[in-house]
Amino acid sequence: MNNLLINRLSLTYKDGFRAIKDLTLEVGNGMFGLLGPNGAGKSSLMKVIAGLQKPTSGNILFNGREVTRDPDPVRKHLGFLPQDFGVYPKVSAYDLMDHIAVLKGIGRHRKTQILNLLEKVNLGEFKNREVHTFSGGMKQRFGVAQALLGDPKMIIVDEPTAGLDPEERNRFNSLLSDISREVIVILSTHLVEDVRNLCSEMAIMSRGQILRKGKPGALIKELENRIWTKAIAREQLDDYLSGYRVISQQLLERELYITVFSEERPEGFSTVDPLLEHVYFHTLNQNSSL
Amino acid sequence: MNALFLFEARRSVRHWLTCLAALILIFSGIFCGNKFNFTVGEGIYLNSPYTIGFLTGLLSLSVIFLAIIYALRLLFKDTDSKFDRILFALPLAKNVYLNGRFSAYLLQTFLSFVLLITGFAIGQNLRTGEEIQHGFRLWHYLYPLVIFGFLNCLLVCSFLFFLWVTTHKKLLVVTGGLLLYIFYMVVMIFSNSPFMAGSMPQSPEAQQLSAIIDPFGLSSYFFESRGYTVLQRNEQVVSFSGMVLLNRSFYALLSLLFLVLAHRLFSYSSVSGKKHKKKSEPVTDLPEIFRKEYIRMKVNFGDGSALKSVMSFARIDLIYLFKSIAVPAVSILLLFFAGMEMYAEIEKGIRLPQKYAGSGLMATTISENFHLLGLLMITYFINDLYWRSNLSGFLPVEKTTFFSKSKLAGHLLSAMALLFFFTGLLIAEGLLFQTVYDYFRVDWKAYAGVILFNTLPLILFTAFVLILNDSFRNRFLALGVSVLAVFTFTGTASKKVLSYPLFRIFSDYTGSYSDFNGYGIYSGAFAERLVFGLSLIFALWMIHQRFKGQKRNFREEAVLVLLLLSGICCGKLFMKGYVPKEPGREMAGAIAYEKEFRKYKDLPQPDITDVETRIELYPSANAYRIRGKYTLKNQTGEPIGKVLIHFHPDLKIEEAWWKTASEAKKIDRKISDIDLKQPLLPGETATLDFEISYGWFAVNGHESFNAIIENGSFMRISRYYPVFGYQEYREMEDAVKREKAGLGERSGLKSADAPAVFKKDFIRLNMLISTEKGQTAIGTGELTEQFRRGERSYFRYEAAGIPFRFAVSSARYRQKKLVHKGTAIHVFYHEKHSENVSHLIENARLTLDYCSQNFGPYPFKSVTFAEVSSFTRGFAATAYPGAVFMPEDRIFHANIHADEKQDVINELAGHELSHMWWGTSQIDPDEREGAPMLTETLAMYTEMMLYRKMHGGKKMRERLKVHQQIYDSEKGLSENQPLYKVTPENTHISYSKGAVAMVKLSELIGEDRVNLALRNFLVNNSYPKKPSSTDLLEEFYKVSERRDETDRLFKTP
Repeated sequence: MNNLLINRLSLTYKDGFRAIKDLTLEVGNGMFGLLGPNGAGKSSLMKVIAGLQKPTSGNILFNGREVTRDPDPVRKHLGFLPQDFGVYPKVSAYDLMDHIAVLKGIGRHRKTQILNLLEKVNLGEFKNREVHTFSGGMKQRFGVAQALLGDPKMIIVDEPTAGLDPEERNRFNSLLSDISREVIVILSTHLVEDVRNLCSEMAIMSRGQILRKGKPGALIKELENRIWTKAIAREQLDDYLSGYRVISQQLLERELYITVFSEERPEGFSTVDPLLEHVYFHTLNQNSSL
Repeated sequence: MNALFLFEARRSVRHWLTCLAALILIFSGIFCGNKFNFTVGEGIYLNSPYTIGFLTGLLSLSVIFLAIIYALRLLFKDTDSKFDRILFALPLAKNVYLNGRFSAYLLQTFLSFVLLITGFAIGQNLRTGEEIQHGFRLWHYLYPLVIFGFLNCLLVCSFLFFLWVTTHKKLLVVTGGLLLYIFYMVVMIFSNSPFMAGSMPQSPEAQQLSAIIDPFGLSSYFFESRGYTVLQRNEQVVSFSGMVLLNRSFYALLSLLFLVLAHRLFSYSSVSGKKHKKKSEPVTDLPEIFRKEYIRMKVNFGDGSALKSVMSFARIDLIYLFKSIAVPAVSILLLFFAGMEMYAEIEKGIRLPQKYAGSGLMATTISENFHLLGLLMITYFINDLYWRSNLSGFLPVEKTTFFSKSKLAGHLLSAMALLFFFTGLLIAEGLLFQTVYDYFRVDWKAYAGVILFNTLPLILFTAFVLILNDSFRNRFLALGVSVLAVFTFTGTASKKVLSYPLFRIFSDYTGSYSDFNGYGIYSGAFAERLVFGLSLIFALWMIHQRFKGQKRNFREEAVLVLLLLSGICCGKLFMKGYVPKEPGREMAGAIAYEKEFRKYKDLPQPDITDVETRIELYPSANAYRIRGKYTLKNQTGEPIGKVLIHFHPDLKIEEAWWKTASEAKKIDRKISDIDLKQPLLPGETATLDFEISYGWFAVNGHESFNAIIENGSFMRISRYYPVFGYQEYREMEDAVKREKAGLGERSGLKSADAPAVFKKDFIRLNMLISTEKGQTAIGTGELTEQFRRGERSYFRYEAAGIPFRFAVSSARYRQKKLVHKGTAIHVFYHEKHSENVSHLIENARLTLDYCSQNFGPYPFKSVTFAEVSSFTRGFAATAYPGAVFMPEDRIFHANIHADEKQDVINELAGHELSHMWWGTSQIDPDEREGAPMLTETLAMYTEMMLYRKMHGGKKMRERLKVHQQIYDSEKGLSENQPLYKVTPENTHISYSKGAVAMVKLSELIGEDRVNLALRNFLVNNSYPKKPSSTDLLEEFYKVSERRDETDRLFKTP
């Protein structure tokens, strides 16, 4: 059983921006979903865990070993897919995979795994093609393959399915799901649905802090009979915003629906089965109103 | 105004990097202005408009490097940042975009150059001294700033801009810039530039052509000013007319053409559009993902894996380098540049003969050129390789792997592979030249020097540059600092920056390779310094790694300790015998000497009449020991009460005694004045017994004329013997400094018309030279005895009635001998240099016949020609009584069959052998104006007459034409003296103009009469008279009526 313990972690950039504020979190085997709006600090947190960025204070323990000052223990068992990455020009997919495999300490039998992974991400036929000529989706799949090289005990994937078509996304999700039984997978995403489907644990992050943490099902359950919706006219929006705890607004067939959180059913509202999305918006909403 | 330009200008001005770059440029300029001592010619001031113009032109070459860096930063910015996709989607006219970019680019480059020149002007004006004239004239700086600075900026920027528009490849832009530089270097070879003195003179046609096509305009500057006098050069700028106007207009127009073409060929789509064929993705019924299990792999983080990771980094680098155009393009450039230099070294212009394409010549040519180019290339490549992962966006993936720490070592390994690849290419080119020139005697030791002197220091520098790149967060800052490191820690500037030689670990070797001696002790010393450098860089590397957060590694630390220990040991060995050059010490010594001893100038001093000496040579220890006994005689009419004795500063006094009949005095100071208790009366004698020793160390370098080396030693050894009386040559020359020191006027040369001098200073010489077994020592005079004792060989040379001037050589020689009409002709040569031996003997016979017939009998029983190592530089051949010494790399070992216009062996024999009649052998000219006319001019005359005898009048006149060209090209760089007043430094007058004048005289009055006058001159001016040039003119007047014409030849400048 692997364990990642993040203890009172803070990160302040040179320009004074506080990306992570006194964050504490514990993660075990399985998929851990990290949800949060842009600028919440998810990528910063991932960079710190991966050792790409030194925190200002706090520490991280991976399987009991402190890794903020010396990221080697985590790097020995890390698969990392950053949100945005490029590749070396002029180098083929196989050669680049081989390079990363060597850097991850894989021995002479690495060829088997490289070919296996390339096939798993549907790039087997393109192994000799230069990666920088790949399309966005292909490159992303390459990124997935490289993250799985070796014997990772922790896989950090930042927006992994961006640029993948629905079919590829499914494949990737099931692959991750398979692997996550024995390892920690931290999945950072905007896609609430992916977290619902894949993650056994999740956290919602905003402004550098964890606002909520728990199992998706349990979090949803907390909202049962507390989420209500109603179609309103646009000009009424301000009134509703000031009168109710509106957690989201969306257009359905050009009509504006608002969703509110309330212990009792507000007048004119109908009940809704809570979704993880509601948990997400509610949490953000709660936080912003604090 | 163009919005793009304004945006760029505002952004740049506010950027801290711009301020830093400005400061660096100004300080570099101040350094150049204050420290560069490019003396163009005697009497031409360093801040004369001519020199300022020339140096500005030379400095304008830096525009290439500035423009390359700015091109990479400015022109490629949009694509690098991927902002082009947004920018090109805007309604932005093509012209507005291009004009905005180009104007910002040009202005930034030019302003940088303006800053450099501003610094240069400040630096020059902070100087004082004889080489600086008073007053500051802004125009003298502004004018070249425009004709060289601005126009060269325009040319380089427009050319690189054009390359950017048409290729969008960084490397091609860099290569294009370097190509411009190489093109310039090639043109300069034919331009008669004072800096390309080795290839001078070029024919007027070649000069004219290079004046037109030189992209930086310097050749046109030299061409246009070729007729200027020293005064003109000091007072007026080189006019903007003729070739300067033509060249500058041509390149200004060409620049505009590049810009027009760039505008025509530019299209937005070609910048951002990436063309590649996409292979469509297969449609599979059941994706593999569902069929195959995910396989896990065991990982290992041991040493083997660490090594593999280093190799993997290197492999990826090399795939990138060799798949891109970078390496092929740079290889071609390098081969082209080195090839041009090899060709120039072999062919040597019209003055010198074709050299044999020996491995040594090829290897030293590679070393002379590869080092700087290698430094620049490696600076670029390392910057490119290091920042590639960052720029491509691969860094987050790579850096989160365990072995990402191998990145630096991987780049180092790939750079090493690249450097060995370039080294191999250059060596292969050298071998190719050897094959083409039909001289395929491969000396691998010479080529190994290329690796030792270039590849290895370049590898050290690579490690240093990697540390620099890893220490900065900005790619261009890292590049700028690396380029700065090239120019401060290597080359000429490093001597100022790192005055302690041990720390110049990246430096190159600019010395010789000798077939006799290889690289001598320099290769060992170089290796010692490299080991020290390695330990230093390794320590720096480890400190850097620790700083970057890497854990302690005891094994690495153990290696470091071992390396540091061996580095310190090697450093100590390298520094053995180091004598620091203290600036000002020599000057202080000269001032003190003059103040203390000038009084001896007018005091009578004894003359040396007999020299009995034993010279023990230890070539393998780079040392010798001299034991000597002088017999001294008071040949003046006055008693001598004080004696001033000098021992050479480089030699150690083991023991020395001054003895007269009544007293003996021990001497232990290098300069000693002795008060005699009893004056030495006229006619009385004294003796000086002495034992002195000498040895040299690689760290100080050897003296060209005191080169005691393992094989092929040559010493003008009489210069290192004790001498008596005031030595004028020790006086300080700089008039301003003399005035400051309160020294007054310097003892000048006597006028040519001063009264005649008689002095009995010839000596009887008996020298016993011993050397190591297997070597032959050649001395001065006749060989009278030769024997072996133990491990040493002994050679006794004797001569009577010769000037105090003798030399020694020692080497493992082959010998050829022939007796011609009772005179033995010996040639001692290196076993691989036999090609011209017979021809030399033949020409020596001819010379002996001609000179004996026309000037008088040959004064010795034999003549010896001895080849010496190329560690001796500074002459093509030198004659001593009975012996002529010739460095291996000048004339003797040249391919005379390749050049039908020239027979250098004939010239060598004719010229040097004739010195046995002229000064300094049968006559000893008085040290005054015109003295070189009695030595070199007469030797040149004999050379020309013998050339005619061997090859006919037409060929001789062709040679004469070359001498006329040499004279014409150099006469404007110093005071134009008449021949009869020529001073020793003006060889273009004593040799070249002298040859022309003497041949003209022979045509005017006839060869026979000239020879008669010369024969009479020898008879009438024999020892103890010290003749002057007017004595020779008198003899010419006596044999012909044409005094006016004779005067015109010898008495007009």
